[in-house]
Amino acid sequence: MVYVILISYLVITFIIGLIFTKKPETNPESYFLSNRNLKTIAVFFTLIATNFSAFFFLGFAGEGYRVGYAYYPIMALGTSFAAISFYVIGNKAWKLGKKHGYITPVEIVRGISGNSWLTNLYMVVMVGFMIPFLSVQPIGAGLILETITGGQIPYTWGVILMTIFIIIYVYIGGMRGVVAMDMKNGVIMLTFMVLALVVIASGIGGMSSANIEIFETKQDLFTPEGTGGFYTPLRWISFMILWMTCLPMFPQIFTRFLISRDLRTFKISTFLYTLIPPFLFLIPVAIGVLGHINFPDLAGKTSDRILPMMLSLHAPEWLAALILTGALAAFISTVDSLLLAISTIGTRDIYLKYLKPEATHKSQVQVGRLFILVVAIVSLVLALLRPASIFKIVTMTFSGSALLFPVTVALFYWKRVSPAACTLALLVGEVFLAGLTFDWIGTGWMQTALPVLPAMVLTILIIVVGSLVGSRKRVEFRV
Amino acid sequence: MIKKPAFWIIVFTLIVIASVIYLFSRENVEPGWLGIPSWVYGFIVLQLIYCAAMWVFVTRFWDHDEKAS
Repeated sequence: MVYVILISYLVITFIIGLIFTKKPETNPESYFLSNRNLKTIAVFFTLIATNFSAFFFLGFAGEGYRVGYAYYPIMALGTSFAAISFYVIGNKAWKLGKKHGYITPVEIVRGISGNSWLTNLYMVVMVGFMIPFLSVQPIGAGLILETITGGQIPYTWGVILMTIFIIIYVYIGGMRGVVAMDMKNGVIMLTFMVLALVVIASGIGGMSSANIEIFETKQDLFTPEGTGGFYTPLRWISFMILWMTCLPMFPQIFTRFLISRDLRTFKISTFLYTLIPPFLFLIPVAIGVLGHINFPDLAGKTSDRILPMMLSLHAPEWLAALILTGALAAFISTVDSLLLAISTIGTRDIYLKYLKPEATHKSQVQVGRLFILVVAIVSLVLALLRPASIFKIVTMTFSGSALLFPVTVALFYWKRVSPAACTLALLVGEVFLAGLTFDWIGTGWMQTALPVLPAMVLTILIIVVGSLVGSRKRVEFRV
Repeated sequence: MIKKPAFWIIVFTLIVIASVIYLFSRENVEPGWLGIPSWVYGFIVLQLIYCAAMWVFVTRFWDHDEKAS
């Protein structure tokens, strides 16, 4: 029965991809951006489905297990607040894209700054930090498949099979296929997450009694600071800044700013986006906390499996498989968008810019497909190595992406900004961030702040001071 | 006032400050409805206030910004 459900889900997903791509795509704007013609519901669901990844199903529950309910407020408010930065970046990006035909974030930066050093560094940072995040998704899929098949599909094979599946349908469908899939996957993901809580809560004899039982032995899980007082106010503010600044800088999210048919569509989708985290994010965190009833002693990255483990224990095999297709949906809808976004940048900003400027539309699409294959294989290798817990990988890669935010805001809004100062700021900021993250630089003075906080301050400082005292060459802002 | 960026910077900053103060001044962490600590429900209310502010931002400020540009 488990296999029937899994195969049915994959076949339906594949058929939807084919339906939306009856006509072969040969135009880059159509293949990569669906002709910038998407309506509110499509933009809303693709924003949600792209943003809420396997990390939402597994990482949230895992962190809920480790830290407790304290994880909910920072994730929910931080993600909701990203809508403000969607406005700050997305509003300008949409106008620039529409006016000048930009297809990638890197093209926008090149168009505004006219500085190839800054553009190339921006591209390296934007894509480089997404590769480890991309690898998180197959890790999630591997864990899910292994758990729901009782180990019959081992982690390694789960990772390989799901990666192959994604490659095939993104290869065929492009943005149109991805958005169609996101709409279906968004509905499945949201519905099945609610169903997961209902099933687990009834399996453990009700949420109330289970929570009270856990509270008697592990009170830390119920405090706003979390286990061991993890979320201090400083760390909380750091995470808030991290989520707000990194989310719009993900290439797969940034690309979403360019696909709306008009600004009203983008605006309403952004508002609808804010309504989801306050309610939905509590569910995986609560499941993580409830996991202590049956599995009280999980440690490290093993706790990332808590959601499928609880489902396997409390739901019939077929129902657990059905619900976990929701997690697969979350995984698929993030990976497809990420693969497409990275391949778009590879095609437009490397192949077209440096290797073959006279490339035809058809060959751009073909090269885009080749990039999908290469990037997917790299992420597959990383997923098989699985270096750390999902939460650690995500926090590290998100911090690197966040430093693009002040650079982008400065380029969009400050006419006096110096591209050279932005280049230096981004370079120094990233090196400083790496120094703090890997303890090359002492971190005692930071207390409980995340490394991204001082790195962000330094980046902003260099942009401001460098622009004021440095080059007088102004940015051409042409909206 | 509602059409000035500074107004919205203040509004959204105040929401973040209120959230931090609310969260870190909670002393009662006893399980409430459904066994979930009651401060979580208070926090949901805070987020709904943010959503309401966002709606005004989107319909009044954002519209104005579009027309202005």
